[in-house]
Amino acid sequence: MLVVDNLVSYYANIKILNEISFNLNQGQVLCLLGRNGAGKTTILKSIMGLVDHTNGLILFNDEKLSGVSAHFIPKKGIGYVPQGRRLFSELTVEENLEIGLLTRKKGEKTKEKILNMFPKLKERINQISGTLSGGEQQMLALARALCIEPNLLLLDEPTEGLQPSMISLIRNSILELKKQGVSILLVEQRVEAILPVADEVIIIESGSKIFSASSKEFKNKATLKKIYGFIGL
Amino acid sequence: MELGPYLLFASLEGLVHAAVLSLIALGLSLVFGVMRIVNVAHGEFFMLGAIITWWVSSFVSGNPAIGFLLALLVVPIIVGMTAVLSDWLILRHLKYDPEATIIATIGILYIIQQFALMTFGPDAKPVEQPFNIRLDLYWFGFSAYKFFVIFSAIILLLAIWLVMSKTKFGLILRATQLDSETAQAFGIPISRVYNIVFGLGAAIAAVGAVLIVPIQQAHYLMGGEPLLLAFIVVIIGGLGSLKGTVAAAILIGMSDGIISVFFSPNIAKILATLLVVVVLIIKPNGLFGTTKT
Repeated sequence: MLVVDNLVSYYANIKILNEISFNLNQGQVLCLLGRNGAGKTTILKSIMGLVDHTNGLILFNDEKLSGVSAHFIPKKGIGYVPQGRRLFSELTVEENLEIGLLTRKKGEKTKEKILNMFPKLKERINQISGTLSGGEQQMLALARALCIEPNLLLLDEPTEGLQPSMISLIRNSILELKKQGVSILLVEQRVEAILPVADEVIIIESGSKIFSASSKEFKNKATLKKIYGFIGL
Repeated sequence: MELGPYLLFASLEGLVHAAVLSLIALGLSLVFGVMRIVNVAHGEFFMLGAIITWWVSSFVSGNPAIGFLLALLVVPIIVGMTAVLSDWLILRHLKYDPEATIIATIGILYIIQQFALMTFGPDAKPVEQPFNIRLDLYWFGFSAYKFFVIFSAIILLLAIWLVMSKTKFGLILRATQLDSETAQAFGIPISRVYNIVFGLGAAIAAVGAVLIVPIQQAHYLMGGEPLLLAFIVVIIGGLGSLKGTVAAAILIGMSDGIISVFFSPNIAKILATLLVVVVLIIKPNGLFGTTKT
């Protein structure tokens, strides 16, 4: 489904990512872990075409994404939940969802389905999104990305700043999407919140992939200790 | 004339001024709000609109209303297309960098100004009013055309508000204004949006020019003052806020009109500039502006 091969990304002339490679298959959850500034967000932005200068290959369903204009990428079925939610804060909940629906020309049926998944948003449909609580904003960011009915979902620190009940709701949503065959590329700092849903973990440090482990491997205590060590916990 | 009727007369003159100023400032605000660039050439798009209005109406003989209506239809399109072309040829290559686009729009300003001078000459060009009716307001007579200018500006402002708040196109513009990177991640082609917005901003200013030129005459140097006033309006209203722009245009246009009638236009400009300083000290983001996060 998603193939990232020798990805090198730059901001201006500064090299941020150094030959990152991984594969993500349908219905799998791949988690990128690492300290702040390691380059995890840049990997997601590179896939979304939001980094000016990249080398290497990014394939999605055998189609090349490298060099494709950013606004074409979501139309291919890739949903994105950016770090810090990045809602259109002066637009209402409904208008934020409308932007998601415009992307692949999805209609009312999709909106109803999404609102049934997140009934809290249905209650606040006409509220300005910037006035929602942190948890509700995260729900809306996820709902907006789901409006495009993605085959691949990129989630950047979805549990950041959330209380435990909201974290478990996000985790359950990830599991539900996984069951539906959606592939998920997840950037996280909270290992304990995410390991139960991940099929593979990759550790990123200073823009390089330094370690990877499958779900079977990280159930092993020694591997888990190693993962915690890498991200400084 | 007694003070009351004189004040009413000055207020009506101020309203005509405010109506046109709100259109010019709205175009500037739209461009700044969505594209985050300062368009120094905006006044020249207004001037180009005025000159082309004279040019178009000079082709039509007979009833001046026909030439005026033709100009109202054609001029915003010509000026809008000129702006679209400027964006396509120059601004997009600068990747809308805020500093570089200031220099580039200064360049566009001179190109348009010198083009107008070389093509149409240095003289002021009068355009006949489409209808010459004088309404008797008991104390004084007032041009019906000036009421038409106020009415047309209100209709256009309402139409822009409707488009911005009720249509998908407006939703796309507002989303791009709030966060252009995230907008791209949801399939919005922002360079195309910028291109349309730059053209639209100039076309709105051109409508203002078509409306004012039968009162004011067209001249190749007429773009400077409206640009300054539009900047004042946009700063007082809050950069990028359409609601604030209209409110500030009414405030500045009315006070400019009234002070000009009672004292002099120069005092009006000095006071408007002082008002900017006061607003910037008390509310640095303008009356209706919000801090971009």
